[in-house]
Amino acid sequence: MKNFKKIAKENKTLTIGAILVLFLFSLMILSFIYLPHPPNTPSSANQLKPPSATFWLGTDHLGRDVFSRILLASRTAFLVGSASVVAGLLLGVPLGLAGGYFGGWFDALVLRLLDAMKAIPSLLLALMLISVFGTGMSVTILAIAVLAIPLYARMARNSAIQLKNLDYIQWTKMIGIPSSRILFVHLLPNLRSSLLVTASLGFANAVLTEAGLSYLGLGVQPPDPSWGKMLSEAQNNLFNAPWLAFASGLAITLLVLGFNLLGDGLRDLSDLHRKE
Amino acid sequence: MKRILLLLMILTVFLFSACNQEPPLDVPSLKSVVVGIPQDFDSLDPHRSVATGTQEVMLNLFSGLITITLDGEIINDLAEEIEVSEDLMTYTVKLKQPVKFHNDQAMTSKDVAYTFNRLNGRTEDQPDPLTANFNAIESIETPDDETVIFKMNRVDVAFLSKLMIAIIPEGSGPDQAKEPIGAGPFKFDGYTAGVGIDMLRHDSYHGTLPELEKVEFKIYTDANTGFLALQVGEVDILNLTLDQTYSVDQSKITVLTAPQNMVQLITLNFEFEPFQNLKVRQALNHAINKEEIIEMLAPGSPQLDTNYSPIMGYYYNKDTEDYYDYNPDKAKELLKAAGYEDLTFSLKVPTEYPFHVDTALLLQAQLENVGVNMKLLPIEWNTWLSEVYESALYEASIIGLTGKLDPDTILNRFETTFLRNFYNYSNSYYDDLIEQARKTADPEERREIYREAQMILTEEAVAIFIMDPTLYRAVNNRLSGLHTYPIGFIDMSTVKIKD
Repeated sequence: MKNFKKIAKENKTLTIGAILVLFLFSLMILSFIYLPHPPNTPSSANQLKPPSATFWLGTDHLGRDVFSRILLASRTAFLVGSASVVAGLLLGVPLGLAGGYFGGWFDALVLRLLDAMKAIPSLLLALMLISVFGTGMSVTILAIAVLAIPLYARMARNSAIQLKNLDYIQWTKMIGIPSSRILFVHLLPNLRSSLLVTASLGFANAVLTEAGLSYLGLGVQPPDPSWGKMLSEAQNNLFNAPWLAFASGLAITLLVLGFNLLGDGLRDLSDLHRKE
Repeated sequence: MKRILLLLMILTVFLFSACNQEPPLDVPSLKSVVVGIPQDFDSLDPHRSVATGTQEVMLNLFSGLITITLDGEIINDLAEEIEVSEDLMTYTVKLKQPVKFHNDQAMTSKDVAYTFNRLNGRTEDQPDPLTANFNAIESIETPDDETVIFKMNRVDVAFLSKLMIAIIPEGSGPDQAKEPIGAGPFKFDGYTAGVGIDMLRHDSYHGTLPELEKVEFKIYTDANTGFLALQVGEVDILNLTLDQTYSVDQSKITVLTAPQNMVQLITLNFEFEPFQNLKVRQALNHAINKEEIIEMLAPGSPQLDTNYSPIMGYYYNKDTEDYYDYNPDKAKELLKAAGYEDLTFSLKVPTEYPFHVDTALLLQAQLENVGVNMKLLPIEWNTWLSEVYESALYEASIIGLTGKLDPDTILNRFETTFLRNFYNYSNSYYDDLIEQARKTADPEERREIYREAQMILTEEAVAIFIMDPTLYRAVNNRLSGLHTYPIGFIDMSTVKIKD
């Protein structure tokens, strides 16, 4: 506990990041328990109302409560972020580890594949997937998950190359432990801290990509809300109802900032450990 | 720090230079108006351009044999008189005299013949047809300078309305794309790609001489930039979005509603069993509060109960209005009587059109009130075209059907044999009516037939007709006399500057 306090005091980035993420996470949990107003039901009586005691963040052009919609949309943000992290960990990491560890033609193949994916801007790749498979929540998640793979694979590959020549790995090889066990039991734990950092930054990236896609009308489909979509709708009302853009813009900013700070903080923390 | 200082200095310079901008020198002498338009022109040649956005500007430069009134009635323009034979196979046009083109050349029947031959690809400078619209013309005769006779190869009932096409001087075809010449109230005075087009008054115009001496059409591709230009008075006329109308300075600017001659409707697929029941269709019409939808999404739009916009007043059947009042109780009764108390259906909506998506969301909530469960299936535009428009694989959908000048092209959409009859509607009596109208030369008689056809669509509740979504056109209060037409046309000839 004391240790925790010390970290919090010395590592402000980490603390602020963690607080932001926790705050938004609890909002997401709240959306399952309580929504102040039905988020998808239009109401002609409440069109474009400014923030008030009844509608904390005002209402949109169809009279829907913005706060409720922000809450509901946070589920999408977290779902997309988590999906990209899971895909990165389950597909990207093993691929990178194996490539770095075995080397040779397999490594070359993995590397080329990653280069090819990196050569195409991520949003463009997502657009391509969406135009092939159609719009929809599942396609969006798939596209963003696929995009996350190279980031993790590259990180895992670099670490594997560094680590595979260390004495203890050489030893495990010599005494005949199977490669799969070496990879996952002896190599993987070393990646813990850098994976944490990558996941944190990757999460933020995924949320931003989803917001971008939804802004373009390609992500989450109506009537379900998404922060990006809300932002694009708000753009039409920039002059007469600025609170709309403010609410969704702030939500995106806070979540992305939170995860970025968390990632930076975690990196500082692991660097610190290494020094000690 | 040095850099910041430098930046601040540059910004200050910009600021002051902006303040001290001198007024352009040529302005005070001419009565001039600036119109903001959202996109560049597809072609300056009136026979090649297909974009509505180009047409609404270029109609100021050109005159056709006919023109339309504010409520869509066809009247003569360059034609003094049009005589149609009983079998609709010969059109004899007496030309108005004298009419002068912008290059001061007098218009004769040769120019008219050249215009239509060019459109059909029968002139030396235009060996290929520019459009299929006039392929019903078999031959054109010019017995004298004032008479043109069109001989047809088949009956084309919409031919008269197509005569609005721009008449151009003989031999001017190849130059039209660079320097358009016509006989309209304004003449061309320069075009810069991406910037706009300038026009001057055509002083020997054959109609009422416009008051304005100069009109500039300036392109603002960014809606917000255009809006700011309007607010500060750099632009006098501009189309706005509904949301922009809320923040207009009303002491300086008036917002007009401009009809689009479009019908926004929920199409019901007659292949889907519940929709074959008239009571169900009527119930849906009673269940929907069109007034609320219009109030929320496009205030000022005319409410519809048939597939015709009231803007086309000449043909529109007023009796269809309010045929289905908003009455949830009646809707429930009808559904009960039809045996569909818990009706469930899906609505395919093209996501590229937020306007239709929003309408669908409101509909969904309203239908829930009468116990109807409407599921939204958002699809992208291309999928909509292939699945709904071409293959009719859907239960219900929402779309706007754009209107044309001629009623045939609007009402034939519900003919059994219509290529894109994607509602699978079939009514032999209706088909007969439309066919009969095609053979009727008398305009009054024809009108009565079309009015009856509209009534059938209403009584049969063929679809849920909602509204003709309006455009919002902002006009600076220093101007008056701007009218809106059932077709895209920003007519500057009637605009006046208030003293």
